[in-house]
Amino acid sequence: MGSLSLAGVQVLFLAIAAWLAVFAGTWCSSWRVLTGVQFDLLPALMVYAGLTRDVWTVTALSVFAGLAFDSLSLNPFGVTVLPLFFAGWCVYVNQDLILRKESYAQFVLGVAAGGLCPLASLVLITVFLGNEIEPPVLGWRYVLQWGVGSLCGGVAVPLLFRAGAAVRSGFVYEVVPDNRFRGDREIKRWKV
Amino acid sequence: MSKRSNYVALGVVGVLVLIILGLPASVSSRLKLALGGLFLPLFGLAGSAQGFASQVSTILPTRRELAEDLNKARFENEQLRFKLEQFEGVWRENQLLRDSSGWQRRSPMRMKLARVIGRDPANWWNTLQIDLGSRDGIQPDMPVRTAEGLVGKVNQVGYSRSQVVAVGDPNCRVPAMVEETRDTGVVVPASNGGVDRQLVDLSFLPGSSPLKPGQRVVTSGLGVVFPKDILIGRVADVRSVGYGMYAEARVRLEVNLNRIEQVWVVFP
Repeated sequence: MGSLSLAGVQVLFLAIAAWLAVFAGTWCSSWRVLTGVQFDLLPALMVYAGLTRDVWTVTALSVFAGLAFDSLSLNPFGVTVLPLFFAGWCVYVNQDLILRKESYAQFVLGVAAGGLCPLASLVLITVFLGNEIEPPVLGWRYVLQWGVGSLCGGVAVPLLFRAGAAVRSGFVYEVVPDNRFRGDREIKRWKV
Repeated sequence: MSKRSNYVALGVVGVLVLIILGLPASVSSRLKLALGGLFLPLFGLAGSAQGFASQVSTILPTRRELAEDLNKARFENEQLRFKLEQFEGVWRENQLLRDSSGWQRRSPMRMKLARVIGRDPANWWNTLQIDLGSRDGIQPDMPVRTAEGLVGKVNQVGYSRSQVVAVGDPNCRVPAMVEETRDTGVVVPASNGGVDRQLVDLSFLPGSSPLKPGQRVVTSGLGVVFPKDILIGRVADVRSVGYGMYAEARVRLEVNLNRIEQVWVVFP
């Protein structure tokens, strides 16, 4: 499979993951019953996209995921797009400076995105709320939700990297590591 | 990828978001419903899986367990029939008294059962998705309840699903009354945003009201959305506000909104 079609598979993987992540956030109530907080996998997905894909994939994914999230929420339509895009964009712009293969770097980025995306959404909601809906009431509950959301983001990014690697390994041959010996030092055997 | 394309992408998203946020409410609401339709196959699949799981669970119990369940159901049925007989007597008496005093007759609630298929993915709202929509006659602002008490009201209506705003969300204020003292107020979200989502505030109560923990709070019937006498919750504690001019009670909701799976939509 060529590099172009592999890129297509990876973009498709991201789109399906975003679709499922929004649905899981709506449908899975057991985590909400257990912790009182609903997990949100989209910031983690944006970090993964920012570390592995190009800026246009990050753009398309943030628009699709943000609008899908808002379509099932009371949020003003489109308000989640910008925070998700910023999460992915900031990671993408600094892609070369980040130790992207290290799990702790992935965890830290996930925590930051999981914490900052909801905060930015809340700021935008209060700015663009209009007169139709009342603003959310913030308090200690929100601090708890914010903490658990950040942790979820941190845990989700390394898991997404593993899932992404599994998808990739299904479509490309494993790269065989180079021989450590120089070619001219290799022992040649032949029949006398 | 060049630096320029990074900033072009930033500009594209910024302009797109400004356009979407600037759309009229009716258009963005329609777009929301259209995009939400993308999830219908997943909701359907999840519903079928749940149905299959419940079917399997009915196959697994032993004969003894089934016999026990049957006996229990028979006993409950007897009790409910007895209560219904009493209730019908009281209902007839009530209608006669209303006729004799010239009051309008009360009609029994017309309701439709709906399955809860999802909840708000954002943590700061308290909404539910149900599997009834405009094809089932659902309209915005219809009250939603369970046998235990009030859940909320319908907000957005799609063809085959609707969004319900639950009590405790800032967008669902309920005119309420303490049943024992007849003091009226409005149920609003807890002002301190406490960790427990089951607690809401009953505000705008008179400062002299003799409220006690455990008293029942029901809908007052004031306003046009919620009919009278649907249980909302019970008073947890009371505090005085505005130098004793008003009182505010914390109310523990009767319905656990995190656990409900089925609700009734009340038709006018």
